[in-house]
Amino acid sequence: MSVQVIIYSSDRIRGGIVKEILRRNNIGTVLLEKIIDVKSEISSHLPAIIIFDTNNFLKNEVKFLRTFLSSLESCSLILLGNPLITNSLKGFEQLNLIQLPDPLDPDKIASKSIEILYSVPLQTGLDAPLQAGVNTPFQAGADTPLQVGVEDNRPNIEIDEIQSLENDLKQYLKLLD
Amino acid sequence: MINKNRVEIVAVVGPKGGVGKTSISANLAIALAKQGKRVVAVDLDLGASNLNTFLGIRNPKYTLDDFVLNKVGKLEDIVLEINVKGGSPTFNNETSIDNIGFICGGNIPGIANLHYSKKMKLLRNLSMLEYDFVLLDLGAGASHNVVDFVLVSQKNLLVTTPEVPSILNTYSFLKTLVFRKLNIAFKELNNQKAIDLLEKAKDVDKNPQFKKMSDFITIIESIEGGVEASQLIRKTLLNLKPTMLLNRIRTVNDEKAGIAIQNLTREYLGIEFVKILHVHEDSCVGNAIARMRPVMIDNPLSIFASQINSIAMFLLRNFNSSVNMVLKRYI
Ligand SMILES: Nc1ncnc2c1ncn2[C@@H]1O[C@H](COP(=O)(O)OP(=O)(O)OP(=O)(O)O)[C@@H](O)[C@H]1O
Ligand SMILES: [Mg+2]
Repeated sequence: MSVQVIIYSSDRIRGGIVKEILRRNNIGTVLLEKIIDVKSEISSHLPAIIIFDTNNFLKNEVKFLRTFLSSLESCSLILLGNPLITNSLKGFEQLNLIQLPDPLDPDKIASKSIEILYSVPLQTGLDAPLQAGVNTPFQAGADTPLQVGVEDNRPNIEIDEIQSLENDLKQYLKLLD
Repeated sequence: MINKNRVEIVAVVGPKGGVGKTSISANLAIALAKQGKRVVAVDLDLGASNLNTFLGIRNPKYTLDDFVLNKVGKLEDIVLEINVKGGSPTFNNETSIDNIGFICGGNIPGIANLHYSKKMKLLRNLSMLEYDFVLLDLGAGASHNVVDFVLVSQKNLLVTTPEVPSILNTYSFLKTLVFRKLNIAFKELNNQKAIDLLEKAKDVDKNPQFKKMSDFITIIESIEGGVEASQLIRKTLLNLKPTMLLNRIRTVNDEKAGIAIQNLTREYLGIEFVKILHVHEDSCVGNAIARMRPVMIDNPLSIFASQINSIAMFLLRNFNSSVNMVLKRYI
């Protein structure tokens, strides 16, 4: 599997979790524990995504990382950890920066990575036209603090495949016209 | 009397057997407790209870049988306080942040077909438990019991695996749930015509004109008292707010099951999921069960544990308890 994502984490366990979830989604990764290693890794090949786990970050590491980020060519960065730290790493226009605050959410990391790697627009159905007579929670959004929507939409899932599954289900449920 | 506290009843439900309801209930209870919430996990798989084994409890002092047999007066009398801080859970009389409350399931013959008045008493008592979260581990199937426990909950986590049989069951369960809710609502309106049409709409094979909820609403609108009834349908659908939990995901491909069922329920039932949560297949679940320990304790750094933590955070973010209207009506 080629390296599509570099993971930097000084925490072996957190890094291992991220690596494992991406592996399960067939995404090639390399896990590095030192920023200096990240530097040498990207000198030969810039991956589509670099995931920085800022957990346990020290002040001078943030400084170092800022310098490092300014030297990067365009790619996507997923920053994990405390927003106080990840916020301070904003402001590089060439970088597509995504912050995923703690607690570590492997699921979200995987879905964001897939979204970036295979950014094909996918109709999750959420923006599908409303059906006559039936309100969707979107119209009720004002009075509900609930987060509405399918956050984990996976752009690389073929719409055809979903439709064929849907048709199978409809057949079982006798819903086909 | 209804408890004035902000108790949030969360039903962990899944009509298909073995999809992971109990694994999720046990570990989610611990994850919520670790966030400082007062949690009680209730084994409501009447007649087939096993949540205690997932929590590592071998000899529970009290079970739901004691409540059903009137050996105790209130449900809170049978809550066991379990310490979940590392190691195997031990009983503890003092409630602390490392504790969760636990109500062990009952297994006396006949408990699966709980008498109506007993069920009402149980439902009432559930809402009076003084906890932040009351997690209900429900049994498989779509019996009246299961559906009623879901109806009194503020939130429901609808657990399914990506396999077609489980998805089909989930769809049918949602349909049962909507129809039961609408039946109650129409009865309250005293609209017999609407009740009759609802009965017809159950069988889409025979009455294909009712296939979609939107078509059903249009037809209801045209009958006497239809405007009111149709508004009630819309309100009911909006209030349902199920959260889908796709468990045992192995591949990215598996995730399409979540999208497919969302599309179907939206199109035919007019129901929108609040969110589709993902939990991956993880061997640590089986390993922990073999050791009779919750995953959150046995392997807190596993992917499963981390995803359960995310679900706990999701519940905490959306913690917006209100006295459940359905329950109010029951009582
Ligand atoms: N994410 C997972 N990864 C691996 N195994 C899992 C996962 N979730 C559940 N299982 C396994 O599935 C089996 C059934 O789980 P569980 O008893 O929690 O399901 P259930 O829905 O409560 O079943 P029932 O309908 O009988 O009450 C268990 O052996 C458990 O180890
Ligand atoms: Mg179970």
